[in-house]
Parts: sequence; C-alpha cells; structure tokens
Amino acid sequence: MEMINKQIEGATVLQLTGRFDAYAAPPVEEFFQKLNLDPASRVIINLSQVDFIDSTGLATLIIGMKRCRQQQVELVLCGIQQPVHIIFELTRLETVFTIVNTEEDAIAQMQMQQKG
Amino acid sequence: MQEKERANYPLAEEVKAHSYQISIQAAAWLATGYRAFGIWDKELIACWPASAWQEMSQMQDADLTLHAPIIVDEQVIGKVGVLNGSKIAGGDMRLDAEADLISQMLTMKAGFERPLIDLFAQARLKTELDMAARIQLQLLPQQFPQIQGLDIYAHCNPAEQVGGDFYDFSAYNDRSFAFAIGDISGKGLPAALFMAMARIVTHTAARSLPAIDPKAILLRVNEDLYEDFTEAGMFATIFVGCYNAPSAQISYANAGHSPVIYCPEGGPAVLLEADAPMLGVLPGIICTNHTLPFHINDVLVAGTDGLNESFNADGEMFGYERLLRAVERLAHLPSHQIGGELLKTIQQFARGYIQSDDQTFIILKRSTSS
Repeated sequence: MEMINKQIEGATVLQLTGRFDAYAAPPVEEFFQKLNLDPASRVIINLSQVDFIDSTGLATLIIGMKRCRQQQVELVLCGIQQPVHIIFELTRLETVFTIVNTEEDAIAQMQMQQKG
Repeated sequence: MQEKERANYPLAEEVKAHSYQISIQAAAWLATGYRAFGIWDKELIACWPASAWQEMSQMQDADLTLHAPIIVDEQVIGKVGVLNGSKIAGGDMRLDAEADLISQMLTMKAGFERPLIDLFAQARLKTELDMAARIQLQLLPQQFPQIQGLDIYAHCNPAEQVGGDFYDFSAYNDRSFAFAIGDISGKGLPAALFMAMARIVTHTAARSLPAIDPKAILLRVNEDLYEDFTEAGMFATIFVGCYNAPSAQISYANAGHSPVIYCPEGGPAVLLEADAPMLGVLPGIICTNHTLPFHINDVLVAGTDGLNESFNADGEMFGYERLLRAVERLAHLPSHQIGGELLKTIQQFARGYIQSDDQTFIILKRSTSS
C-alpha cells in the first residue's frame, strides 16, 4: 500500500492507496502515534484509492480516532469506495466516524467550522 | 548418548545464559588456566591446548566447568564449553603458541552459535505460540448444549498464526440457551489473550443477567472490556443470540459482527447486519434486540470473516455472495454437514492458497418441533 502525507490548508491529509490490511497497517499506525497536533485542527484520511480493508485496517483507523480524540483533533474519512463502504456499513462504523465524500468537502467543512 | 544429553540439558534459559557467558569471557577463561573445546554435530572440532585432543574427545560431562549445548528442536546439535584444566594431567598452558586456536574457536563460536541461538529462540517461540493456539482451541466449548428441537454445531478452523475468534454457549435449560460468536481485531498472542477474556466476560454476562437479553449482554461486555480494549488498541465484533424453544424464536443483537446468515427453509439466505459498532470503540454503545422466527428446517450460520475473506491465488475473495449461495445450497443437510461442506467449498475456492485468518462458525438448525 502507498501512503502520502501532506498538509492542505492547515489540515493533515493522509492519502492511502491499495489494500488496507495487516501488511499495510503498521506505517499508518505509526503515523497516528507520531501525530502531535493543535487542538481543533483536523486529520483527513483519504481512502479514495483503497479497494479493500480488513479488520486490522479498521482497528488502525479506530486507534487513530481514539488518539485524535485524546488530542481534541477531529478525524475525518473521505472518498470511501463501495467495497470498503460495505464494510463500514456492516460493522456500523459509519456511525462512529465522520465521513464525507471528498477531500475538498472535508477541507471546506473544516474552514466553515473555523469561521463559525 | 543423545538421550543422556537431552536429559542433561533441558533448560533453555541456562543454555542461553552459558552461551553468552562463553562469548564474552572465553579469552579470560583460557588465560586463567582452563582448557576449552568446541563440539559440532557430536564431534570434537576444536580444543585448546591442541595436545589435549585425545583426552578431551573422551571427556565426561562431569569434567566440564562450563558447557553449553546448542539445542534446536529438542536436539543437541552442538556444544561449546571450557574444561577445568586441573582435571587433566599434564595440561600445557602456552597461551601465545595456541593463540590461533583460540581465535579459531571464537570465530567458530561467532559463526555458528548466534544464528543457532536465534534459531533456537525462534523454535521456542513457535512452540509457545502453538501451545497458545492449542489452549485457545481447548477454551472453546467442545460439547454443544442439548436443546429441544435444535441441531447445533460449532467449529473453529484456526489459521497458521493464532487468532482471536471465539464462540460460546450458555444453556439455561433444555428449552432455551444463549450463544455468542466473536472476533478480536488483530492476530497473534494479543488477539488470543483478549479472545480468552472476551469469551469469559461474555459467558459470565450471559449467565448472570436476570433475563435472556442479547443487547444487555453486549452492553455489559463493552462496559467490562472498554478500557482494556482502548489501552491495547483493540476491539471485538460480537454477535449474541438467544433461542427460545416455546416461542420458536431467535432474538439477537449484533455489535459490528459479520457474517451472520439466516436461511429460512427454501431460502433466500440473508445477512443479519449489525446495528451497533464493534465493542471497544465507544464507551457507550446503542444496539437493539431483533427477533427472528425459527421454524423447522430454518438455518442460522453465525460465522467469522475468515469465511468470506478467504482468497485464492488470483487475489479473488470468496465474499458474501458466494457464502450466502453456499448456505442456501447446503441448508437441507444436518448442521455438522453444513459446516463440513461449507469449509470444503471455501477450500475448493482457495485452491490451496494460504488461509490467513481463523474460520469459525456456529450453525443452528431447527430439526423437529419442540
């Protein structure tokens, strides 16, 4: 799996590509472990290029969400593709994460909140 | 000889400790008047001083001040050690003349000892993991409850690496019982430890709650395990069902678990989707009890994702669709045959491609009127 970490408009964006499984999880977990952000900033995980997620991938996102919450940082998932979305539905994790359609939506939403 | 050596050196920790001691201190030992030897594959391959070769090749274990057998897979395949010089008459202690032999021995040690000790440690770890996997399987109920009019089967087909699947039964009487199936995130020993914990917490909750209430069982398990799960960065998907013979109904609650397949007689088979996320994710969860009629020849297969997430060499996944169709095709069989044939179907699909996750299921079938 490929992983690109970038800063866009004050948000930390992690773009993942490929299968998000036990082999791909360690670098993502490391990314979350190293996160040290200002409260009220935002982490966006772009899953638009991820075609498969297993329980280890989900666990990694949950660990990330808990870690963000500790730092009062919001974690947003975007670009979830159909095969991955089915897993989020089946596990009801769609009710646990903030999920938006695109990376642009996630950034626009953050800017709205900052203005508000 | 082999038997004797095994009996003499059973302690892995001691072996390890001695071996390191030689590595660090071999030169000092030699300088202060000890004889040294190296044995490889039960043959003396080096000794110091060289003139003692004949005596050393006949030495007894009792003559050794320090000895370190190297054991891999319970077999002594080599030894290194230092011999007390005083026990051999006429020992010649010319250090300078024998320096090349010392160096030869240390080189030999460095060359073979470390990788072997690593190998040994790996072998030991693997043995421990295998043991954990065996204990884990023993933790799962091997006897199924006897419930009127119900044909019950459960099985766990473990992957090579120990995983976190579990199932459990709590029978209240011969007419009603609770069952649970769960999957702890991750693999290996952490998953196995949490699996043992989750099974016991689930079992206790099912037994101690005043009424048969799947939702209440899940809430209790989440309450009990949330902090430990958060600490360890883990979670569990759990499905809890209760069957009640007089009402011929199954009530259930599902915290993020799949696949659970309900196949009424004649089909079609459907997935019973979760309405709550997995346990360990949120401190308080909201889930609901659902009720299903369970008539004669109806089948329920509560499995783990190792079933639908089986892959073949082309990277193709077995998936929910094939699983649902397989359950429909097999639903006319008794529960243990449904289980056996289901695994066979998945194995045929995988065509020998490695099974990366545990495959576990509980199968209930209404056999006769209760």
